[in-house]
Amino acid sequence: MTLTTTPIGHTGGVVAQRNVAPPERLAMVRILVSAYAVVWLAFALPGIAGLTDAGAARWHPVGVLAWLDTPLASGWLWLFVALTFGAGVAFAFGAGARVTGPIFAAAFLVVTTYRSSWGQIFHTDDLVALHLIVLALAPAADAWSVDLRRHSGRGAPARRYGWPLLLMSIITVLAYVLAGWAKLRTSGLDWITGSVLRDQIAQDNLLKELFGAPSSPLASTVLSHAWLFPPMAAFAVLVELGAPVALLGGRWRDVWVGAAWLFHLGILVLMTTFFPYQLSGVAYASMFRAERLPRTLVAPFRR
Amino acid sequence: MRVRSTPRYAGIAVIVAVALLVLSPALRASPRDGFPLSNYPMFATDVGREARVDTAVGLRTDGSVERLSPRLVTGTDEVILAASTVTNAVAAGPATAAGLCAEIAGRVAASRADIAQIRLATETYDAVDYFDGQRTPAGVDVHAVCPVP
Repeated sequence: MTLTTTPIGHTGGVVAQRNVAPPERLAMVRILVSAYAVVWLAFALPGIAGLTDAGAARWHPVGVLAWLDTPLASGWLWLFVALTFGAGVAFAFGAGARVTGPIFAAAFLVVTTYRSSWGQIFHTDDLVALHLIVLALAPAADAWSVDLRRHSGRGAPARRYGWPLLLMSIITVLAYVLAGWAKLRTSGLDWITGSVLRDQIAQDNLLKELFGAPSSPLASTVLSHAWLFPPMAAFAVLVELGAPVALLGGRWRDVWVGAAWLFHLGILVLMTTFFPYQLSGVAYASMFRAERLPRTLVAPFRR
Repeated sequence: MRVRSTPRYAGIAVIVAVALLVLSPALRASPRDGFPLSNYPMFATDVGREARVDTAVGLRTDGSVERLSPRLVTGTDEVILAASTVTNAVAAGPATAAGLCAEIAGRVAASRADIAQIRLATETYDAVDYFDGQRTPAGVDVHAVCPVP
């Protein structure tokens, strides 16, 4: 029996589906993540450009740039930015994906690492960079791609389309688990029962006020009610440490993704910290039957 | 013959390897932050109510304080980046603090004629009380003051 005849489960969970997926699912995730990364870069570009004038004393390299004692020369930076845009658009369309995918993932990693090498690590970019690496190494252009038009016809559902999605989902889940674990490891149960979250939100908003940036309009109101914070902290840790249930699929996944989305919405409202990858839903696309998205979007207009 | 699937065990091995890689920053004896692999330490620490914030502000000729935007401090719109830039400069010593002060003054000169000086300082507040209306710092420890050209 070939894997192409393996039935796809009905729960929609990456585990429950035994890792078999149609090529369109992986292709849709490729399109979503690539499009997100390209649009994100367009918005982040002014901030990145502002860093090129920064003094070398501010350079605190991390990750793949950790070996650089001095800031990456602006010429190299703009080359990587151009590669990210060019290869990113090509990869989103599935054009030359075996080449453009790795170039896109590598260039995006360099650009985002550069952005995080000036004293602030932007954890909002972590998952995107990791997901792009998985997609770059996966057969993500076997459907809905320019490459497909040039070569063979439609592929059948197979594990090779499911494994990358499972891997992306596991990376997503682990990121949440690590964040939850860090809280309990660092502060113990006090993080939930004590005033840690309240103090964090107060200090974060204070920092914004002192640097002339908008703080949360709800900060004053919420911070005056200390009793609100233990339930909010418990919810946050439950979402983070409970992330593995998303791999079960079905309602477990739906409830967790909904809770995680609310968690990020709460961070936005209370701390004016924006997690666009999560709030746009793209971060969770690998957990769903993403190939149905076009039909779902078009359906209301067909009635 | 076209291979249609990745062997199951190879796939599992890859997933286990990647999972260990993602978990690696937290599995170290002393977990450390990084990019894109991180132990996600943000918001984990009990920072307490007392906030000691390294700031860069503008001073008018009458001595009043004008909060500077992250763009004037660092050239970008990121608050935390601006704050960490000031903190790193203060931690590096008077010469570095003076250098950043002059860098900010250069940016301010182009857009804010009302600001006469830049001041790098550590301001102390009760972060919760600040949002209850107590906005005067409990302490201001000045590290550098420089004129706006």
